[in-house]
Amino acid sequence: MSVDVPTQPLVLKDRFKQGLAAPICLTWELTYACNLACVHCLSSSGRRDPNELTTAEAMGVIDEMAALQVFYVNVGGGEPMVRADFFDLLSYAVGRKVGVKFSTNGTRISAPRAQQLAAMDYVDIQISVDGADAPTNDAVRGRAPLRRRGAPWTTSLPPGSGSSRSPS
Amino acid sequence: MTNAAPVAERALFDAALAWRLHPQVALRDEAFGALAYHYGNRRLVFLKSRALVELVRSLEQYGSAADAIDAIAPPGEAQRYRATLARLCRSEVIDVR
Repeated sequence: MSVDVPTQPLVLKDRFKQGLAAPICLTWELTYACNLACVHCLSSSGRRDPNELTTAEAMGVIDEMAALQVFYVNVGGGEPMVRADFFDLLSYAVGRKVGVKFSTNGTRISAPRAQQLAAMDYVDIQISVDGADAPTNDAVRGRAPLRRRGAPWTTSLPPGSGSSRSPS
Repeated sequence: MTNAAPVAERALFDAALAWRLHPQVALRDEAFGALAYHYGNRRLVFLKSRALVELVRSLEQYGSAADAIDAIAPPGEAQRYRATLARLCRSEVIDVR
């Protein structure tokens, strides 16, 4: 037997307690593969997980986010840009109105890639640097990323692309 | 000094004009109303009633915001909905057509 209980309209604070229809944003470690070896790495990254998602599977996850109307995804790793399909996944997400904020060590941002990224809507980039000069940074990040490769993003991101600096 | 645009350059809400949901804003229905996310300025705004969500979605069908408020706002609430639309204008959830 069921009894119908008259429902009272909920006040707003009680509605919020029920949570949202979907997350506002998600965090996604796209790969554990990384081309650096930072002393402080939280995710013990370095080698690619043999079970990491394929391109098709990753696109399936993006489809689910789009269906739920997740507004944006925070992408990290590992170093997400070492995935060969990184730009395919980025375009796929943005094309479905899932904004992407990604965290990178910047070593894979060549001048043409910097221009391409700066031209994309719905993309925010956080580049991690651990010192103001190459000896300081490279001692923390391992494998001498600044001394060996330079940092093309420091000169390639066009004016007005909205860059700002904050510790992370 | 702040970096804010001069007042004259900011959109000011005028209920006599025709408005619409800003094309860069996505609305997602929620139990309390809806979430509005602006893909340009990355702002997230809570629309805290169903009637307000209906009003924002319907703006495009009316010749002026005042007409939309007359048609949709609950009785006696017109002034409150007008003030709310002014706030949504400032956060660029709505813009002039």
